[in-house]
Amino acid sequence: MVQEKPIIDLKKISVIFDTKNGDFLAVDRVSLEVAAGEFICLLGPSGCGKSTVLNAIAGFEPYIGTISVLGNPVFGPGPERGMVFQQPNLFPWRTVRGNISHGPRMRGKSKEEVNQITDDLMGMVGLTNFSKSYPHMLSGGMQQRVALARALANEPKMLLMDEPFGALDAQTRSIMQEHLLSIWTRLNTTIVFVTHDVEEAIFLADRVFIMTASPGRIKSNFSVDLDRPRDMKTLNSQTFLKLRQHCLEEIREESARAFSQQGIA
Amino acid sequence: MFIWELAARAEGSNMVLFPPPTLVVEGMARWIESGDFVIDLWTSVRRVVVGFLLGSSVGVIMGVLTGRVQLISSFLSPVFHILRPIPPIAFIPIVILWFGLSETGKLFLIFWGVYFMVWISTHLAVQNVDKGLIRAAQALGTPEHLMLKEVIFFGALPVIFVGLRTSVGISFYTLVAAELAGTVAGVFFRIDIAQQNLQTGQVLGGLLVLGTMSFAADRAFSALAKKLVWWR
Repeated sequence: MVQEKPIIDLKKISVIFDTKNGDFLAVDRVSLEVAAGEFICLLGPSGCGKSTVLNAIAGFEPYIGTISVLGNPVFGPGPERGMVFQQPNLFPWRTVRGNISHGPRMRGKSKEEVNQITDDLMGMVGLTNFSKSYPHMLSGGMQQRVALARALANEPKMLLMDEPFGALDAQTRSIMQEHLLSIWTRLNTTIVFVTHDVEEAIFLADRVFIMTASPGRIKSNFSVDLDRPRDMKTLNSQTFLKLRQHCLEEIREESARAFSQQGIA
Repeated sequence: MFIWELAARAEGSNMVLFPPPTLVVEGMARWIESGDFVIDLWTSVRRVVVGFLLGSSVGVIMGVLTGRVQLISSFLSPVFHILRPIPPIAFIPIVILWFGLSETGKLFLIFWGVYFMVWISTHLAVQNVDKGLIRAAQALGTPEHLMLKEVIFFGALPVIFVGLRTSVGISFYTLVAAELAGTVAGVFFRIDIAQQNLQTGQVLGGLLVLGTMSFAADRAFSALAKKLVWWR
Protein backbone atom coordinates (compact mmCIF):
# COMPACT_ATOMS: atom_id res chain seq x y z
CA MET A 1 0.00 0.00 0.00
CA VAL A 2 2.89 2.31 0.72
CA GLN A 3 3.94 2.15 -2.92
CA GLU A 4 0.56 3.49 -3.97
CA LYS A 5 1.38 6.85 -2.43
CA PRO A 6 2.72 9.33 -4.99
CA ILE A 7 6.29 10.50 -4.38
CA ILE A 8 5.34 13.99 -5.60
CA ASP A 9 1.84 15.25 -5.00
CA LEU A 10 0.61 18.67 -6.17
CA LYS A 11 -2.88 19.72 -5.12
CA LYS A 12 -4.28 22.81 -6.80
CA ILE A 13 -1.14 24.86 -6.65
CA SER A 14 -1.12 28.43 -7.91
CA VAL A 15 1.76 30.83 -8.26
CA ILE A 16 1.31 34.58 -8.47
CA PHE A 17 4.06 36.87 -9.69
CA ASP A 18 4.31 40.41 -8.46
CA THR A 19 5.03 42.40 -11.64
CA LYS A 20 5.18 46.08 -12.49
CA ASN A 21 1.74 45.79 -14.07
CA GLY A 22 0.25 44.22 -10.98
CA ASP A 23 -0.23 40.60 -9.99
CA PHE A 24 0.17 37.98 -12.65
CA LEU A 25 -1.27 34.49 -12.30
CA ALA A 26 1.59 32.33 -13.61
CA VAL A 27 0.24 28.98 -12.51
CA ASP A 28 -3.44 28.31 -11.98
CA ARG A 29 -4.55 25.40 -9.78
CA VAL A 30 -2.24 22.74 -11.14
CA SER A 31 -2.65 19.26 -9.70
CA LEU A 32 -0.53 16.27 -10.54
CA GLU A 33 0.81 13.12 -8.95
CA VAL A 34 4.03 11.37 -9.76
CA ALA A 35 4.60 7.77 -8.74
CA ALA A 36 7.98 6.55 -7.54
CA GLY A 37 10.17 5.53 -10.46
CA GLU A 38 8.05 7.40 -12.98
CA PHE A 39 9.41 9.69 -15.71
CA ILE A 40 7.01 12.54 -16.41
CA CYS A 41 7.31 15.51 -18.74
CA LEU A 42 5.68 18.90 -18.45
CA LEU A 43 5.22 20.06 -22.03
CA GLY A 44 4.12 23.48 -23.16
CA PRO A 45 5.02 26.65 -25.01
CA SER A 46 7.47 29.10 -23.45
CA GLY A 47 5.90 31.25 -20.78
CA CYS A 48 3.23 28.69 -19.90
CA GLY A 49 4.46 28.33 -16.33
CA LYS A 50 5.93 24.83 -16.61
CA SER A 51 9.28 25.93 -15.19
CA THR A 52 7.44 27.76 -12.43
CA VAL A 53 5.68 24.53 -11.45
CA LEU A 54 9.07 22.79 -11.35
CA ASN A 55 10.58 25.61 -9.27
CA ALA A 56 7.70 25.32 -6.84
CA ILE A 57 8.40 21.60 -6.42
CA ALA A 58 12.10 22.41 -6.00
CA GLY A 59 11.22 24.88 -3.25
CA PHE A 60 12.35 28.04 -5.03
CA GLU A 61 8.93 29.55 -5.69
CA PRO A 62 6.33 30.46 -3.07
CA TYR A 63 2.99 28.89 -3.99
CA ILE A 64 -0.62 28.59 -2.93
CA GLY A 65 -1.99 25.07 -2.45
CA THR A 66 -0.15 21.99 -1.28
CA ILE A 67 2.93 20.27 -2.59
CA SER A 68 4.15 17.22 -0.80
CA VAL A 69 7.28 15.35 -1.63
CA LEU A 70 7.78 11.94 0.00
CA GLY A 71 4.75 12.84 2.12
CA ASN A 72 6.26 16.08 3.48
CA PRO A 73 5.14 19.59 2.55
CA VAL A 74 7.64 21.63 0.53
CA PHE A 75 8.96 24.78 2.22
CA GLY A 76 12.32 25.15 0.51
CA PRO A 77 14.95 23.35 -1.51
CA GLY A 78 16.37 20.07 -0.29
CA PRO A 79 18.98 17.54 -1.37
CA GLU A 80 16.44 14.74 -1.85
CA ARG A 81 15.30 16.71 -4.93
CA GLY A 82 18.18 16.86 -7.41
CA MET A 83 17.90 19.84 -9.72
CA VAL A 84 19.28 20.27 -13.23
CA PHE A 85 18.76 23.71 -14.80
CA GLN A 86 18.72 24.89 -18.40
CA GLN A 87 22.02 26.64 -17.68
CA PRO A 88 24.50 24.16 -16.21
CA ASN A 89 25.08 26.60 -13.28
CA LEU A 90 28.37 24.91 -12.48
CA PHE A 91 30.65 26.59 -9.98
CA PRO A 92 33.24 28.12 -12.33
CA TRP A 93 35.93 28.17 -9.62
CA ARG A 94 35.77 24.43 -9.08
CA THR A 95 36.96 21.59 -11.28
CA VAL A 96 34.65 18.87 -12.60
CA ARG A 97 35.55 16.80 -9.55
CA GLY A 98 34.98 19.75 -7.21
CA ASN A 99 31.56 20.42 -8.72
CA ILE A 100 30.37 16.82 -8.56
CA SER A 101 31.63 16.33 -5.01
CA HIS A 102 29.97 19.53 -3.74
CA GLY A 103 26.73 17.94 -2.51
CA PRO A 104 28.25 15.03 -0.56
CA ARG A 105 30.88 17.38 0.90
CA MET A 106 28.22 19.80 2.07
CA ARG A 107 26.31 16.99 3.69
CA GLY A 108 29.30 15.93 5.75
CA LYS A 109 30.22 12.65 4.06
CA SER A 110 33.67 11.28 4.83
CA LYS A 111 36.48 11.96 2.41
CA GLU A 112 36.54 8.33 1.21
CA GLU A 113 32.81 8.33 0.59
CA VAL A 114 32.97 11.63 -1.29
CA ASN A 115 35.78 10.34 -3.52
CA GLN A 116 33.98 7.05 -4.13
CA ILE A 117 30.72 8.73 -5.13
CA THR A 118 32.52 11.27 -7.32
CA ASP A 119 34.60 8.65 -9.12
CA ASP A 120 31.53 6.51 -9.78
CA LEU A 121 29.56 9.42 -11.21
CA MET A 122 32.39 10.73 -13.36
CA GLY A 123 32.54 7.24 -14.85
CA MET A 124 28.77 7.13 -15.31
CA VAL A 125 28.69 10.38 -17.29
CA GLY A 126 31.96 9.56 -19.07
CA LEU A 127 34.04 12.44 -17.75
CA THR A 128 36.71 10.59 -15.79
CA ASN A 129 39.43 12.07 -17.99
CA PHE A 130 38.18 15.59 -17.33
CA SER A 131 38.12 15.45 -13.55
CA LYS A 132 40.66 18.30 -13.27
CA SER A 133 39.13 20.53 -15.97
CA TYR A 134 37.29 23.73 -15.16
CA PRO A 135 33.75 24.19 -16.51
CA HIS A 136 34.73 26.86 -19.06
CA MET A 137 37.02 24.34 -20.75
CA LEU A 138 34.11 21.97 -21.46
CA SER A 139 31.50 21.90 -24.24
CA GLY A 140 27.85 22.62 -23.43
CA GLY A 141 26.97 18.93 -23.49
CA MET A 142 29.82 18.03 -21.15
CA GLN A 143 28.88 20.84 -18.78
CA GLN A 144 25.34 19.52 -18.63
CA ARG A 145 26.68 16.01 -17.91
CA VAL A 146 28.66 17.46 -14.99
CA ALA A 147 25.49 19.21 -13.78
CA LEU A 148 23.60 15.90 -13.96
CA ALA A 149 26.36 14.04 -12.10
CA ARG A 150 26.49 16.81 -9.50
CA ALA A 151 22.75 16.47 -8.86
CA LEU A 152 23.01 12.66 -8.70
CA ALA A 153 25.89 12.80 -6.21
CA ASN A 154 23.40 13.47 -3.42
CA GLU A 155 21.60 10.22 -4.31
CA PRO A 156 18.36 12.19 -4.63
CA LYS A 157 14.99 10.46 -4.54
CA MET A 158 14.01 12.39 -7.68
CA LEU A 159 15.45 14.60 -10.37
CA LEU A 160 13.82 17.87 -11.38
CA MET A 161 15.05 18.93 -14.80
CA ASP A 162 14.29 22.31 -16.33
CA GLU A 163 14.84 22.13 -20.10
CA PRO A 164 18.31 20.76 -19.44
CA PHE A 165 19.06 20.04 -23.09
CA GLY A 166 17.42 23.17 -24.50
CA ALA A 167 20.69 24.93 -25.23
CA LEU A 168 22.39 21.94 -26.89
CA ASP A 169 22.67 21.18 -30.60
CA ALA A 170 20.38 18.49 -32.03
CA GLN A 171 22.99 15.69 -32.13
CA THR A 172 24.22 16.26 -28.61
CA ARG A 173 20.65 16.58 -27.38
CA SER A 174 19.62 13.20 -28.77
CA ILE A 175 22.70 11.53 -27.27
CA MET A 176 21.99 13.17 -23.92
CA GLN A 177 18.38 11.96 -24.02
CA GLU A 178 19.42 8.33 -24.47
CA HIS A 179 22.10 8.78 -21.84
CA LEU A 180 19.56 10.16 -19.39
CA LEU A 181 17.19 7.25 -20.02
CA SER A 182 19.92 4.71 -19.35
CA ILE A 183 20.89 6.47 -16.09
CA TRP A 184 17.23 6.68 -15.07
CA THR A 185 16.82 2.92 -15.68
CA ARG A 186 20.02 2.07 -13.86
CA LEU A 187 19.31 4.20 -10.79
CA ASN A 188 15.58 3.54 -10.77
CA THR A 189 14.91 7.17 -9.83
CA THR A 190 11.95 9.47 -10.46
CA ILE A 191 12.19 12.31 -12.97
CA VAL A 192 10.11 15.42 -13.62
CA PHE A 193 11.32 16.91 -16.88
CA VAL A 194 10.24 20.26 -18.31
CA THR A 195 10.45 20.84 -22.06
CA HIS A 196 8.80 22.66 -24.95
CA ASP A 197 9.98 20.01 -27.40
CA VAL A 198 7.13 17.61 -28.27
CA GLU A 199 9.39 14.82 -29.54
CA GLU A 200 11.68 15.06 -26.54
CA ALA A 201 8.72 14.76 -24.18
CA ILE A 202 7.28 11.67 -25.88
CA PHE A 203 10.66 10.02 -26.33
CA LEU A 204 11.54 10.34 -22.64
CA ALA A 205 8.37 10.17 -20.61
CA ASP A 206 6.01 7.60 -19.17
CA ARG A 207 3.40 10.31 -18.97
CA VAL A 208 3.21 13.73 -20.59
CA PHE A 209 1.32 16.70 -19.12
CA ILE A 210 0.45 19.38 -21.66
CA MET A 211 0.33 22.87 -20.22
CA THR A 212 -1.29 26.01 -21.61
CA ALA A 213 -0.26 29.59 -21.14
CA SER A 214 -1.69 32.57 -19.24
CA PRO A 215 -2.74 31.39 -16.85
CA GLY A 216 -0.58 28.25 -16.69
CA ARG A 217 -2.85 25.24 -16.50
CA ILE A 218 -2.63 21.57 -17.25
CA LYS A 219 -4.76 21.01 -20.32
CA SER A 220 -4.46 17.25 -20.62
CA ASN A 221 -2.18 14.35 -19.97
CA PHE A 222 -1.54 11.02 -21.63
CA SER A 223 0.55 7.90 -21.10
CA VAL A 224 3.25 7.02 -23.56
CA ASP A 225 2.91 3.34 -24.42
CA LEU A 226 6.27 2.90 -26.04
CA ASP A 227 8.52 -0.02 -25.18
CA ARG A 228 11.73 0.59 -23.33
CA PRO A 229 14.59 0.79 -23.88
CA ARG A 230 13.87 3.45 -26.45
CA ASP A 231 16.31 4.51 -29.16
CA MET A 232 16.43 6.24 -32.54
CA LYS A 233 14.06 3.66 -34.04
CA THR A 234 11.41 4.59 -31.50
CA LEU A 235 11.10 7.95 -33.23
CA ASN A 236 9.75 6.27 -36.38
CA SER A 237 7.29 3.89 -34.75
CA GLN A 238 3.57 4.27 -35.46
CA THR A 239 2.74 4.89 -31.80
CA PHE A 240 5.31 7.66 -31.55
CA LEU A 241 4.07 9.40 -34.66
CA LYS A 242 0.47 9.16 -33.55
CA LEU A 243 1.24 10.62 -30.12
CA ARG A 244 3.26 13.35 -31.72
CA GLN A 245 0.36 14.24 -33.99
CA HIS A 246 -2.00 14.30 -31.03
CA CYS A 247 0.33 16.54 -29.04
CA LEU A 248 0.89 18.97 -31.86
CA GLU A 249 -2.85 19.35 -32.40
CA GLU A 250 -3.47 20.05 -28.72
CA ILE A 251 -0.70 22.60 -28.56
CA ARG A 252 -1.66 24.17 -31.84
CA GLU A 253 -5.19 24.72 -30.66
CA GLU A 254 -3.76 26.41 -27.61
CA SER A 255 -1.29 28.55 -29.54
CA ALA A 256 -4.06 29.68 -31.87
CA ARG A 257 -6.18 30.66 -28.90
CA ALA A 258 -3.30 32.56 -27.30
CA PHE A 259 -2.55 34.22 -30.61
CA SER A 260 -6.11 35.45 -31.13
CA GLN A 261 -6.22 36.65 -27.51
CA GLN A 262 -3.12 38.71 -28.12
CA GLY A 263 -4.73 40.06 -31.27
CA ILE A 264 -7.71 41.34 -29.31
CA ALA A 265 -5.55 42.74 -26.51
CA MET B 1 63.86 62.66 -26.33
CA PHE B 2 66.38 64.31 -28.65
CA ILE B 3 63.80 66.77 -29.90
CA TRP B 4 62.80 67.53 -26.32
CA GLU B 5 66.46 68.25 -25.48
CA LEU B 6 66.84 70.55 -28.52
CA ALA B 7 63.57 72.33 -27.94
CA ALA B 8 64.36 72.98 -24.29
CA ARG B 9 67.78 74.38 -25.15
CA ALA B 10 66.55 76.42 -28.10
CA GLU B 11 66.70 80.20 -28.12
CA GLY B 12 63.73 81.69 -26.29
CA SER B 13 62.77 78.69 -24.17
CA ASN B 14 63.12 78.87 -20.42
CA MET B 15 65.20 76.01 -19.00
CA VAL B 16 63.84 76.58 -15.51
CA LEU B 17 60.20 76.17 -16.58
CA PHE B 18 60.86 73.59 -19.25
CA PRO B 19 64.04 71.64 -18.43
CA PRO B 20 65.67 69.31 -20.98
CA PRO B 21 66.01 65.59 -20.23
CA THR B 22 69.63 66.02 -19.20
CA LEU B 23 68.55 68.28 -16.35
CA VAL B 24 65.88 65.79 -15.34
CA VAL B 25 68.54 63.06 -15.19
CA GLU B 26 70.81 65.38 -13.27
CA GLY B 27 68.04 66.19 -10.80
CA MET B 28 67.33 62.50 -10.34
CA ALA B 29 71.02 61.76 -9.81
CA ARG B 30 71.30 64.42 -7.13
CA TRP B 31 68.18 63.07 -5.48
CA ILE B 32 69.53 59.55 -5.39
CA GLU B 33 73.03 60.59 -4.34
CA SER B 34 71.78 62.58 -1.36
CA GLY B 35 70.16 59.41 0.02
CA ASP B 36 66.77 61.14 0.11
CA PHE B 37 65.44 59.11 -2.79
CA VAL B 38 65.46 55.79 -0.93
CA ILE B 39 63.85 57.36 2.12
CA ASP B 40 61.21 59.18 0.03
CA LEU B 41 60.39 56.09 -2.00
CA TRP B 42 60.22 53.86 1.05
CA THR B 43 58.04 56.34 2.95
CA SER B 44 55.58 56.70 0.07
CA VAL B 45 55.45 52.99 -0.71
CA ARG B 46 54.83 52.17 2.93
CA ARG B 47 51.99 54.72 3.13
CA VAL B 48 50.33 53.32 0.02
CA VAL B 49 50.75 49.69 1.03
CA VAL B 50 49.58 50.10 4.61
CA GLY B 51 46.74 52.46 3.68
CA PHE B 52 45.62 50.17 0.85
CA LEU B 53 45.73 47.02 2.98
CA LEU B 54 43.77 48.66 5.80
CA GLY B 55 41.21 50.27 3.52
CA SER B 56 40.68 47.21 1.37
CA SER B 57 40.44 44.69 4.19
CA VAL B 58 37.96 46.77 6.17
CA GLY B 59 36.15 47.55 2.88
CA VAL B 60 35.77 43.88 1.96
CA ILE B 61 34.56 42.95 5.43
CA MET B 62 32.02 45.79 5.58
CA GLY B 63 30.91 45.11 2.00
CA VAL B 64 30.21 41.47 2.82
CA LEU B 65 28.31 42.52 5.95
CA THR B 66 26.13 45.16 4.29
CA GLY B 67 25.74 43.01 1.19
CA ARG B 68 24.55 39.98 3.15
CA VAL B 69 22.79 41.34 6.23
CA GLN B 70 19.86 43.62 5.49
CA LEU B 71 19.72 44.99 9.03
CA ILE B 72 23.36 46.14 8.98
CA SER B 73 22.89 47.56 5.52
CA SER B 74 19.87 49.62 6.64
CA PHE B 75 21.98 51.24 9.33
CA LEU B 76 25.29 51.74 7.60
CA SER B 77 24.71 52.03 3.86
CA PRO B 78 22.99 55.46 4.00
CA VAL B 79 25.90 56.83 6.08
CA PHE B 80 28.46 55.40 3.68
CA HIS B 81 26.60 56.75 0.68
CA ILE B 82 26.73 60.26 2.13
CA LEU B 83 30.43 60.04 3.04
CA ARG B 84 31.55 58.24 -0.14
CA PRO B 85 31.39 61.14 -2.64
CA ILE B 86 33.44 63.53 -0.46
CA PRO B 87 36.92 63.72 -2.03
CA PRO B 88 39.61 62.55 0.43
CA ILE B 89 41.56 65.77 -0.16
CA ALA B 90 38.70 67.71 1.46
CA PHE B 91 39.49 65.95 4.71
CA ILE B 92 43.00 67.35 4.99
CA PRO B 93 42.05 70.22 7.36
CA ILE B 94 40.15 67.95 9.73
CA VAL B 95 42.82 65.25 9.50
CA ILE B 96 45.43 67.80 10.58
CA LEU B 97 43.23 68.77 13.52
CA TRP B 98 42.64 65.16 14.50
CA PHE B 99 46.02 63.59 13.87
CA GLY B 100 48.37 66.57 13.61
CA LEU B 101 51.16 65.97 11.13
CA SER B 102 51.54 62.36 12.21
CA GLU B 103 51.87 59.33 9.98
CA THR B 104 48.43 58.15 11.16
CA GLY B 105 46.84 61.11 9.42
CA LYS B 106 48.46 60.16 6.10
CA LEU B 107 47.33 56.56 6.44
CA PHE B 108 43.85 57.73 7.35
CA LEU B 109 43.53 59.69 4.09
CA ILE B 110 44.61 56.73 1.95
CA PHE B 111 42.42 54.42 3.98
CA TRP B 112 39.50 56.76 3.39
CA GLY B 113 40.04 56.88 -0.37
CA VAL B 114 40.42 53.13 -0.71
CA TYR B 115 37.76 52.07 1.76
CA PHE B 116 34.66 53.42 -0.01
CA MET B 117 35.61 52.10 -3.41
CA VAL B 118 36.24 48.63 -2.01
CA TRP B 119 33.14 48.73 0.18
CA ILE B 120 30.75 49.66 -2.64
CA SER B 121 32.20 47.17 -5.10
CA THR B 122 32.14 44.35 -2.54
CA HIS B 123 28.60 45.27 -1.48
CA LEU B 124 27.37 45.16 -5.08
CA ALA B 125 29.41 42.07 -5.93
CA VAL B 126 27.96 40.12 -3.01
CA GLN B 127 24.42 41.19 -3.83
CA ASN B 128 24.74 40.31 -7.51
CA VAL B 129 26.17 36.82 -7.32
CA ASP B 130 24.57 34.72 -10.07
CA LYS B 131 21.19 33.54 -8.71
CA GLY B 132 21.56 30.33 -10.68
CA LEU B 133 24.67 29.38 -8.70
CA ILE B 134 22.93 30.14 -5.43
CA ARG B 135 19.93 28.02 -6.39
CA ALA B 136 22.18 25.19 -7.53
CA ALA B 137 24.02 25.31 -4.20
CA GLN B 138 20.74 25.35 -2.25
CA ALA B 139 19.37 22.41 -4.21
CA LEU B 140 22.58 20.51 -3.44
CA GLY B 141 21.95 20.92 0.28
CA THR B 142 24.55 23.62 1.03
CA PRO B 143 23.79 24.75 4.58
CA GLU B 144 23.11 28.47 4.96
CA HIS B 145 26.19 29.07 7.12
CA LEU B 146 28.51 27.63 4.45
CA MET B 147 26.89 29.59 1.62
CA LEU B 148 29.18 32.61 2.09
CA LYS B 149 32.40 30.61 2.09
CA GLU B 150 31.42 28.15 -0.62
CA VAL B 151 29.47 30.23 -3.14
CA ILE B 152 28.99 33.93 -2.38
CA PHE B 153 32.66 34.68 -1.77
CA PHE B 154 33.94 33.07 -4.96
CA GLY B 155 30.97 34.29 -6.96
CA ALA B 156 31.69 37.87 -5.87
CA LEU B 157 35.47 37.70 -6.16
CA PRO B 158 35.85 38.81 -9.80
CA VAL B 159 33.90 42.04 -9.16
CA ILE B 160 35.62 42.62 -5.82
CA PHE B 161 38.92 42.50 -7.66
CA VAL B 162 37.79 45.14 -10.12
CA GLY B 163 37.11 47.39 -7.11
CA LEU B 164 40.45 46.53 -5.54
CA ARG B 165 42.35 47.29 -8.72
CA THR B 166 40.62 50.67 -9.07
CA SER B 167 41.60 51.33 -5.46
CA VAL B 168 45.26 50.73 -6.21
CA GLY B 169 45.07 53.82 -8.45
CA ILE B 170 43.03 55.71 -5.84
CA SER B 171 45.63 55.01 -3.16
CA PHE B 172 48.20 56.89 -5.27
CA TYR B 173 45.87 59.87 -5.78
CA THR B 174 45.28 60.07 -2.05
CA LEU B 175 48.99 59.63 -1.39
CA VAL B 176 49.54 62.97 -3.11
CA ALA B 177 46.84 64.57 -1.00
CA ALA B 178 48.30 63.00 2.13
CA GLU B 179 51.80 64.30 1.40
CA LEU B 180 50.39 67.80 0.94
CA ALA B 181 49.23 67.64 4.54
CA GLY B 182 52.61 68.38 6.12
CA THR B 183 55.32 65.75 6.11
CA VAL B 184 59.11 65.41 6.04
CA ALA B 185 59.57 62.70 3.44
CA GLY B 186 57.82 61.11 0.46
CA VAL B 187 57.95 61.24 -3.32
CA PHE B 188 55.33 63.95 -3.65
CA PHE B 189 56.77 65.87 -0.71
CA ARG B 190 60.08 65.96 -2.64
CA ILE B 191 58.31 67.21 -5.78
CA ASP B 192 56.78 69.99 -3.71
CA ILE B 193 60.14 70.97 -2.18
CA ALA B 194 61.91 70.84 -5.57
CA GLN B 195 59.26 73.15 -6.98
CA GLN B 196 59.84 75.68 -4.20
CA ASN B 197 63.57 75.57 -5.03
CA LEU B 198 62.84 75.91 -8.74
CA GLN B 199 64.56 72.54 -9.36
CA THR B 200 62.21 71.75 -12.21
CA GLY B 201 64.34 68.84 -13.38
CA GLN B 202 63.73 67.08 -10.09
CA VAL B 203 60.02 67.97 -10.22
CA LEU B 204 59.67 66.20 -13.54
CA GLY B 205 61.83 63.33 -12.30
CA GLY B 206 59.55 63.00 -9.26
CA LEU B 207 56.47 62.90 -11.46
CA LEU B 208 58.04 60.10 -13.50
CA VAL B 209 58.78 58.17 -10.31
CA LEU B 210 55.19 58.63 -9.15
CA GLY B 211 53.89 57.42 -12.51
CA THR B 212 56.21 54.44 -12.54
CA MET B 213 55.21 53.45 -8.99
CA SER B 214 51.53 53.60 -9.80
CA PHE B 215 52.01 51.72 -13.07
CA ALA B 216 54.11 48.99 -11.45
CA ALA B 217 51.60 48.62 -8.62
CA ASP B 218 48.73 48.27 -11.09
CA ARG B 219 50.59 45.65 -13.12
CA ALA B 220 51.63 43.72 -10.05
CA PHE B 221 48.07 43.76 -8.76
CA SER B 222 46.66 42.62 -12.06
CA ALA B 223 49.10 39.68 -12.08
CA LEU B 224 48.09 38.83 -8.53
CA ALA B 225 44.40 39.01 -9.47
CA LYS B 226 44.95 36.54 -12.31
CA LYS B 227 46.35 34.09 -9.78
CA LEU B 228 43.63 34.61 -7.19
CA VAL B 229 40.71 34.57 -9.62
CA TRP B 230 42.18 31.50 -11.27
CA TRP B 231 39.06 30.37 -13.13
CA ARG B 232 38.76 33.47 -15.30
